[in-house]
Amino acid sequence: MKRIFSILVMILFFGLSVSMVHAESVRAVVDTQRLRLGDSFSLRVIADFKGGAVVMPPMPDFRVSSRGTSTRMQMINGTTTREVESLYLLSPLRAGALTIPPITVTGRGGTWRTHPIPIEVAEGGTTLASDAPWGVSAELSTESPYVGESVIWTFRLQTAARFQNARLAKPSFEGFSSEALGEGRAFEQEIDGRRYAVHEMQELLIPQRPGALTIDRARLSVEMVTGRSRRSADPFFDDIFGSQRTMEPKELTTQSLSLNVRPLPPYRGEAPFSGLVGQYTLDASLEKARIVAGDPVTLTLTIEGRGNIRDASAPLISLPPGIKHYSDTPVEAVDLGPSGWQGRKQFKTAIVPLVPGELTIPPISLVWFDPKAGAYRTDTTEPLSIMVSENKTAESVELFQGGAAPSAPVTMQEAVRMKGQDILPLKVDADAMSDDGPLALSSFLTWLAAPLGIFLVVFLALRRFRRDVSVAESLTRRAIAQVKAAEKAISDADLFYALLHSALSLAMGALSGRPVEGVTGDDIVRIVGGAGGSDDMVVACVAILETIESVRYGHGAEGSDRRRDNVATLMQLMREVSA
Amino acid sequence: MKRILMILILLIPALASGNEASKAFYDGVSHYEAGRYDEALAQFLTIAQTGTQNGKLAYNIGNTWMQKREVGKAILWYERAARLMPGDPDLIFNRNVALAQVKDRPEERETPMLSVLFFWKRGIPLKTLQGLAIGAGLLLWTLALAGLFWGRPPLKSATLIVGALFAVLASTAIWDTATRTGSTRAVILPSAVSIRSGLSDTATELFTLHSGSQVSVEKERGDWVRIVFAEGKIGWVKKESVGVI
Repeated sequence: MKRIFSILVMILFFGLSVSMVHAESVRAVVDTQRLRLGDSFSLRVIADFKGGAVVMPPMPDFRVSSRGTSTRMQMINGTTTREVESLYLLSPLRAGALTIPPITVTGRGGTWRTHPIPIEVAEGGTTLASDAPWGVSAELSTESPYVGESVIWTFRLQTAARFQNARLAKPSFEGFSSEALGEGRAFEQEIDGRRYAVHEMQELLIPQRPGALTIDRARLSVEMVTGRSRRSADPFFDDIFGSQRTMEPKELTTQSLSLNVRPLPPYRGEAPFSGLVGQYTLDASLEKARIVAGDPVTLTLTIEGRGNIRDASAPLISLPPGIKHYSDTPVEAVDLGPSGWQGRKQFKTAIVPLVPGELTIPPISLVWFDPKAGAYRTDTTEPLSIMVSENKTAESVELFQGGAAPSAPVTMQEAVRMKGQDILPLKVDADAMSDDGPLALSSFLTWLAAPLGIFLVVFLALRRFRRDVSVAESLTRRAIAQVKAAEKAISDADLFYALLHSALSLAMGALSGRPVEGVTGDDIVRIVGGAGGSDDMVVACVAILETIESVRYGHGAEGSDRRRDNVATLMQLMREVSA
Repeated sequence: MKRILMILILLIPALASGNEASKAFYDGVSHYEAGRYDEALAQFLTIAQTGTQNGKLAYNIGNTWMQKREVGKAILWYERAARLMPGDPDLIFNRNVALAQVKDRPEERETPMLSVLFFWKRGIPLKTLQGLAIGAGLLLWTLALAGLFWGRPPLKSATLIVGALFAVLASTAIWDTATRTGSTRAVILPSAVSIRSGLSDTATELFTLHSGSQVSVEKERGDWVRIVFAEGKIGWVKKESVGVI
C-alpha cells in the first residue's frame, strides 16, 4: 500500500513537471516538447520576484533569440503576487532527443536554477503536414544546373492562421549571383479540406562556379494569432475596446538545399563561343540594300532569348577588306521574367563601303550553350548583300579641286587593292646570322658608367695638380712683393734685411712647392740646384743669406749699392721662378 | 711569330662556329625555296638556339611558320623580330598578313600615359637606343672635361643640352632593357585553347582564345600561367600553349 502511494505521488509529480519545471521561486516553461526540425518553440523563464537576472547557459543544439521581458501582477484571495517573465524563441539545430540545460537566475540575494527540459525533435520540416496550421518550405527549379544557367529559388509560407510582423531572412546564396524576382505573391490553396493562405517569394540565382553548392536555410520570424486572450470573455467588449488576440512569436526555418553545378562541356566548334547560356536567336538586318560609295549603312544584329543575355557581346563580323565600320553602343531591352532574364540586345554597326559593286556580308554566327539539351547551339544568319553605286558627286569635286583643264585627258585614280594574300620572301643577307641583340642590362650600365669614371679620374687628378701649382704661385707672388718692399726700404737697414730674409725664404718655398722656414745655405744649394738654377745664382743667393745673417748677428752693414744688388739678384731669381 | 700562331689557333673555333651558322642559314634558305619547310625551320632554329638574336633570322623563322600554316608561332617570331627591327617594311607587311588571320578580335585597352610620352622611340630598335645613350654619355663627359679645362660659357650651355639628351636617352634605354628582360607579352600558339578559371583541365572554361592572339602573362604556377587578354578577360592556361615574346 505504501509502495502504491509512493508511485502515485511520483506520477503526479512528473506529470506536472512535463511542461512546467519549478525550482522554488524560479521556473522554466516551454510551449511544446515535441516538434520537427525547422519549427521553433517558446521558452519562458518566470521568476516571482523583481530584478532577477537570467543567465542563459550555452545551448549548442538550439538557436536562441530573446523576445523581451514582461511583468505580471495577480491578486488571489487578497494576496498579491508579482511574476517577471523572460521570453525566448528556440529553434532546434538538429533532430533527436535534446535537452534545455538548467537556467540560472540571480536576484533577491540568491541564485536559482531551473530544471533541465527534454525536447524531442523529429526529422523533416519542409513539407507541411496536413494537420499543421503553418509551415515554410524552399525549393529549386533544378538541382543540377550548368554554370551560368538560371535557377529559381522559391520560398513558401503556408498558414491556416492569421499572422503579422513577418520578416524573412534570406540565405546568403554564396556561389551565385542573385536577384529578387518581383514582389512576391499570395494565393489560397486547399489541402485535405483545409484552406491555407500561401505566400510565395522567388529569387533568380545564376551559379558562378561548378561543384557542389549549398543554399542555407531561410528563416521567417512571424507572430501567429493563436487565439483570444482571457481578458475579455464577451466578444461585444472586444468589438468596442478592440480585439484582444493572443500573438505567439514563431521562427520558421526551411531546409538547406544542395545543388550539383555542372561545368560547361568543352567547346570545339569553329565559331567563337559567346559565353551565353540559355535559349537564344540571332537576327541580322541591313537598313537599306542600295547605297552610294562612301555613305554609311547600318547593320543591326539582334540577340533575343532567355538566360544570361545581359552578358552578351557583339557577334564577330568578318567584313571584306576595304570597308570601314564603326560600332555603336548596344541597346538592351532585358527584363526579369518568371524564368529569369529575358529580352533582346541589339548591336548596331555603321558600315561604309568605299568602292562600288556588290558587297556581301558573310553569315554571322552566334554560339550559345543550351542547358536543356546539354549541348552548344549555333544560329547563323543568311549572307546580306548591298549594291554600292558610284559616288559621282565626290568625283566631280575631286576633278574641280585638281584644277585640270576641261580639255586635258583625265586619268581616274583608284586606290590600289590587294588581289592576293601572300607573305614577302626570306631575308638572305649575310648579317642575318650575327648576334644583333641589345646589350644586357649590366653591360649597358657599364658602358654608361665608364665615361663618367674616366671623367672623375681626370677631374680629381686635375684638382690635385692645381692645388700644388697654386701653392707655388702664391709663394712666388708673396716673395716678389717682399723684394719690392725691401727695395723701397733700402735706407732702413733693419727693415731692409728683415724683408730680404723673408723674400729669400718665400723664394725658396716657391721653388720647392711648399713653405720653407729657417732657410740655411745647404737648403739654398739643394733647392735652387734642384730647380735647375745656375751655379752663379746659387752662389749669389747663399751670399745674400750670409750677408743677412752677418748683419743680424754681427751688426755689420752694406752700402746702398750693395743692397740694390741683392734686391736685383733676388728679383732675377723670382723672374726665373715665375718663368 | 709564335704569338701570331697562337692567336690564329684560338680563332679557329670561332671561325668554325661562324661557318656552321652560315651553312645552317643558307641550307635553311635552300630548303625554304624548295618548299621543304620542316627542314628549313630546323636549320633556322639551330642558329636561334645558340642564343643568336637577329631580327632577320626571326623574320625568316616567322615566314617558315607561316608557310606551315602555324599562325600563332609565326606571329610569335614576327613579334620577336619586331623588337630587333621594328621599322622593317617587309616584317610589317608579313606580320599584318599573319595578324589578319587571327580569329580573336583584340579588345581595346587604355593607352598608358608613358606610351604617349615616349612616342618618339617607336620604330627605334633597343640596340640603337642603347648606342645613342652611350654616345650621348661619351659626348657629355667629354664636354664636361673640356669645360673643366677652359670653363667657357658656350661650352657650359652645350654640356647642359647634351646632359638633358643623355638623361632622356639613358633612362629610356635602361627602362626598355630592364622590361625586356622580364617580358610578359606572349602569343597563343594552338589553334584554339580554353582559358580556365583554375589550374586544372576540369576547371570552368571562361573563354576561348585562338592562335595568334596576344596576351600578357601575369604569373606562373607549375605548368600553368595566368594570362590577361583584355580587361575582365583573365584566366589560366597551360604554359605550353603560350609563347613568350
